[in-house]
Parts: sequence; structure tokens; C-alpha cells
Amino acid sequence: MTLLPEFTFAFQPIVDVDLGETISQEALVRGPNGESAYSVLSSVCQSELYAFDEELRMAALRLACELGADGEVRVNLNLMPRALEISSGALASTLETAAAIGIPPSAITIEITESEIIGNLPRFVAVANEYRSTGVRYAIDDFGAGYAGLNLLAEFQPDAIKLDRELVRGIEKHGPRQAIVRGLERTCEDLGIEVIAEGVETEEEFWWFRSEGIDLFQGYLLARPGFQQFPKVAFPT
Amino acid sequence: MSPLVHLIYSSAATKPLPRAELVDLLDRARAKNSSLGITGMLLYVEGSFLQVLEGEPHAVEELFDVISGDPRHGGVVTIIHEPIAKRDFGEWSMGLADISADDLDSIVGLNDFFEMESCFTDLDSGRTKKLLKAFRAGRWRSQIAGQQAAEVASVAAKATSASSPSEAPVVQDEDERPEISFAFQPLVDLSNRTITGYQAIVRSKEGEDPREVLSRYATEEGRVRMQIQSIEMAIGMAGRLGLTGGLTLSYPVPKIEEIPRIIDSALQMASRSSVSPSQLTFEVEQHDIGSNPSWFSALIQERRGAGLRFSINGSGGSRFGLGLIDSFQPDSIALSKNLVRGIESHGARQAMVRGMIQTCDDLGIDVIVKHLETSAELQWFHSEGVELFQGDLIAGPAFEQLSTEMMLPSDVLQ
Ligand SMILES: Cc1cc2nc3c(=O)[nH]c(=O)nc-3n(C[C@H](O)[C@H](O)[C@H](O)COP(=O)(O)O)c2cc1C
Repeated sequence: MTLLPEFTFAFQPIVDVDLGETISQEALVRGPNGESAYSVLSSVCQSELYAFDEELRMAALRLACELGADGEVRVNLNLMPRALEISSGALASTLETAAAIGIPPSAITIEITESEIIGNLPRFVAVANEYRSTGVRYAIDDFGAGYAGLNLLAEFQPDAIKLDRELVRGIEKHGPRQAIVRGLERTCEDLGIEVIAEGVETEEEFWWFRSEGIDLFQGYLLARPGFQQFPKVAFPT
Repeated sequence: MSPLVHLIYSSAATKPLPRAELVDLLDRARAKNSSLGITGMLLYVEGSFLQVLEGEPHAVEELFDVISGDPRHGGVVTIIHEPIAKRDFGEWSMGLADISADDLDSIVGLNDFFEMESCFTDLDSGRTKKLLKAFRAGRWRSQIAGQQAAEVASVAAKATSASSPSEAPVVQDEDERPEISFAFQPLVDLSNRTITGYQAIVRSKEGEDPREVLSRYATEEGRVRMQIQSIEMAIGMAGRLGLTGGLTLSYPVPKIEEIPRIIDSALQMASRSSVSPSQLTFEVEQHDIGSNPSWFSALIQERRGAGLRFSINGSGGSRFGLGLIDSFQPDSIALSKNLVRGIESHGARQAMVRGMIQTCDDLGIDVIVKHLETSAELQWFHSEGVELFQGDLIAGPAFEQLSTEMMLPSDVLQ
């Protein structure tokens, strides 16, 4: 491998406000001084991107373990678009690392974006389902904004969807967005898929989702990403 | 005629509004609205408001700004803001409904009021009516976080809906037209078992598959011109056949950039025939829009003012983006064929369709099911509340005819 950039992680909690508990920590890649994920990833050359992506997940697990992740609190790890298409073994190293440090696969959620999946849906579903038998879980990130949308759920049912920020932003006064989210909730309820409101920044957004019966949240309002730590959560009252 | 828009919003009363205050609010609103050229209605049910404001774009926006800041309510949610062809409410005059205590808990009271004033039934089947229906069914009840539903009362406006005048039929002669003709397939409304309109389907002069004729148009410009002519011909023919309901025009668009030209010529043709623009629904394929949704939205909003309706075909198929519905709301969507096929035994698709129906209901978008092949499919959709169907199963296309025949499976009719 050529010289890879230095990196570390910030963690942002996903919270069940009904239970008043953090249920998972999402690992977000950062530069050594807190630089953005983009600045880290953009310095990796294309041919090494996927190997680097695997490396990141392993390192994230180790850091999470040091910070006290023990299988009680889940860890959410990101998968680069197309990763499973390019290497069906992309998750093997992640699960091996987890096993070595005592985190069971069932405490790991793999986050994928819509674009990861629609590239080659049948192949994605086949590979993803293969790993499912280990107990690993899947969440679709940025759901509702891209082209895939609902019909994706007819072919692949993740354990959770994270609503796209575009849908969340100002939802309390935006009727069409509310209607879309209600439709999504209905579909997800029927399929046993959890709905996570992501990127929640204001009280108004938070309370709209609460009144719709959403329990799972992630966003600045509750906790900003904590650099090399699991941050404290502020539960709105 | 200056352009018109309507803005429909919901909100919640900050505190119970005694009747006297409501009456006062309405009196002032009425006076101010009439001076601003604004019509519409205001409903107040169980602490929730639903208001329709119609008028010139600026006037509506400015008034809405003022109303939004009114401390007597909060939790204001803009549901729909779009151009309209004509006002649903000819005037702004409101009445107070006296509803007995028993009725207060249910929305039946609202229903009674509507029947009493018969304004609900006078509304044409546009977006406003669908949203009022959704409101009556308990949707769009805005809440202010942590606040209980306020006092119950109902106030509503009386609507005098302007009926659209019918123009005298003038049909153009047709020289140098493409060698094509049309079949018309009924669109059936199962709620009252009527045919609400027809879809024009291109055929050869002999009533056969038109592919051979169409393949003669080699250049893109040729294809666009042919489509323009064929749309004109379809409108002309439907007019001569005495069309009273809707006419759905759907054509594979050679290039999305050509849609404005095609639509504008359809509108011109309508003005020369007995078909009015409000009878026309322009159906666009989901995948044609996929590449350029914001451009398409802008284009559609511009032409909505003419009364034309828009439908998106193939919704729920691959590349169905919810983002599209966020930026503009079509009048109807037709579900993609692969969602319909065998739905009765496919749980994930059922879940998806339920979600889509929910979203569309909330936004006053009709859901149309086409490509029906089995009565099991029809039955499943019908049981989910879908009312509009098209398919050979219930009514096939008839060549150069507006057929009134339907075959409804007996098990659906129960
Ligand atoms: C739910 C609700 C609906 C209202 N609708 C109208 C309306 O349609 N027209 C109007 O002029 N004021 C309406 N108002 C009142 C306005 O917010 C505002 O008080 C009024 O326009 C001020 O009038 P002024 O300019 O004469 O002071 C409404 C208020 C509420 C709470």
C-alpha cells in the first residue's frame, strides 16, 4: 500500500428517547485533528479506496472497544458505495476484528446508502443476506432522497432506515415532507423496519417526529459527534 | 386573466377559541379578504384549523405571512401551495355550524355541516376536495407540542363553486395528418362504478399496433411533430365522440425538453375543440422525469394554471424518487406494472403500496391502478381503498369509440 492518510474517529449516538438510552454509536471517520471525513477520503487513490474502507471499519471497532463498546451498545459502521459489489469479502475482515475484540456480529449495524444498493440490487441482496446469518444488521442511510426510495424496500428489507436530512429539515411546517414520512412509516411498520430520524437539529423537528411516534433519533440536538469519544446525550424534555 | 394560486395549510389553536372570538375573527377576515381578492374557506374542528386561501400569488403569500404570525394559532403546516386554473370558492362567506354535543367528538359534525350547506358536494373533484376529505378523516390535525385538543366547534365557509362554461365545439379538418387513429380505454371509478374518463391509445388507421407507422418517423423533430399532431387528433376525436369526462394523453416523450411544446399544442387544440383543458390529464413517465425533476416541476407548475392535470406513470417502479413528490404534487399517480402484478401474494410490495397510498391521500393525489390482469389484484387494491382502475380485466380499449361497457368481477361488487 502507498502512504495512507492518518485518520481517527468521532462517534455520534443513536438514541431511543422512549427508553432514554443510547442504543448505538455511529463511527464517523475524521482526520487526526478532527478534519472532515471528506478530507481524509479524498486523499486516498481510487485503487486503494476499498481496502482503505475495510481498514476503517476495523480501526473503528478497535477504538469503539477502547471507549467501552462491549456488545451492549451497538456500533454503526459505514460501507462505501459499491463495496459489496466490488468485494463480497468486504465485511469478513470487519467481523473477524469484531470477534477478536469480543463484539458479537449482532451488535454491529452496517450502514449503506441507497446508491450502494441500486447499483446492482440482486448482487447486493445476495451478499448482504449471506452475512445476515451472522446476525449483523443493516441500516439504509439517507433514505428517501435518492432515486431508489420505496421500491427498494420491496426487494430488500433492512433492519432500519435513517431518514434523509432533506426530509427532516423543517418538517414541522412542510406538509409534503410530512406526508412522505407518514407513508414511509406506514411501509416500515408493515415490514418491521425501524425508522430513525437523522440530522435532527431543532426542537420543532424533534417534537414533530415524537408526535408521529418515532423513538429513534440522531442529530445535533441530542448530541454532536464526539471526537474520539462517546459523547453525552441531551434528552429534550 | 391573472394567475391564481391556492395555499392550503393546517394549524392548531393556541387556546380554546370562544365562539364570539371566532365570529369576530371571521368577520374581519371576510372584510379584508374581499378587499384583497382572496377567497377560500376556514374550518375549525377540535382545536385544529384547516384553511384554503385562493387568489393572486402575491396577495395569498402576503396574507399567509400575516396569518402565520397570528398568536391565536401555531404549528402552521403548509400542505399545498400551487397554481390553479380557477377558484374553488367563488366568495368568502362563512357560517357557523351548530353541532350537537354528541357530534362534537366525531367528525360527523363536519360531515353534517357540509351536507347542510351542500358546499362540499359542489366542489369539483380537485385537490381541495381531496384534502378536505383527508381532514374530515382526521388527518392534518395540527398540534402544538404538548397541547391538548382545544374546545370543539366547527366553523366553515360556504362555497359557491364556479361551474366551468362549455365552449362550442369546433373541430379542425385534418389534412396531412399521420396515418394513425386511436383506441380509448375507460378509467373506472369503483366508488360509484362509473367511467370517469378515457386514455387515448395510438393505433394504426386499421386499429392495429401502430409501431410500423410510427417507425416511419426517423428524425427526432419528426417524432415530436408527429406526437403533437397525434395529441391534437386524439383530442379532436374524443371531442367529436362526445367526451364529457376526462381524457388522459400519454406519449413516450422523445426528450423531456419537448414536453412544453407538446403540452402547449394540446392546450391550443383543446381551445379549438369541445374539450376543455380541465378535462385533460397529461401523463408523464416516471423515468422521463428522473433525470431532471426540478426542471420538470417548474414546467408543470407553470402549466397547471391552465387547468391541465398531471399524472405520473410508473410510480413505485425503479427510480421512483420520493424527492419528486416533495417538490411538486401531481394530480394522480399510476402505479408501476411490476408493483401491481401479483400484489395479493407479495407482502413487501403491499407494504410499499400502503405507504404510497398514505402519502398520496395526505396530499390529495389520486392513486390509479392500471395493467390489472386478475380479479385478485383488483380486489386487493380495492380493499386498500383505491378507487380508480384501468385494465383489460374491467374495460378494454375500444377502437375509435368511447365505450361505456365495464365488466366488474362479482366478488368486488359486494
Ligand atoms: C386560523 C386563522 C385564520 C385567519 N384567516 C384570516 C384570513 O383569511 N384573512 C384575514 O384577513 N385574516 C385572517 N386571520 C387573522 C390574521 O392573522 C390577522 O389577525 C388579520 O389579518 C389582521 O388584520 P388587520 O390587518 O386588519 O389588523 C386569521 C387568523 C387565524 C388565527
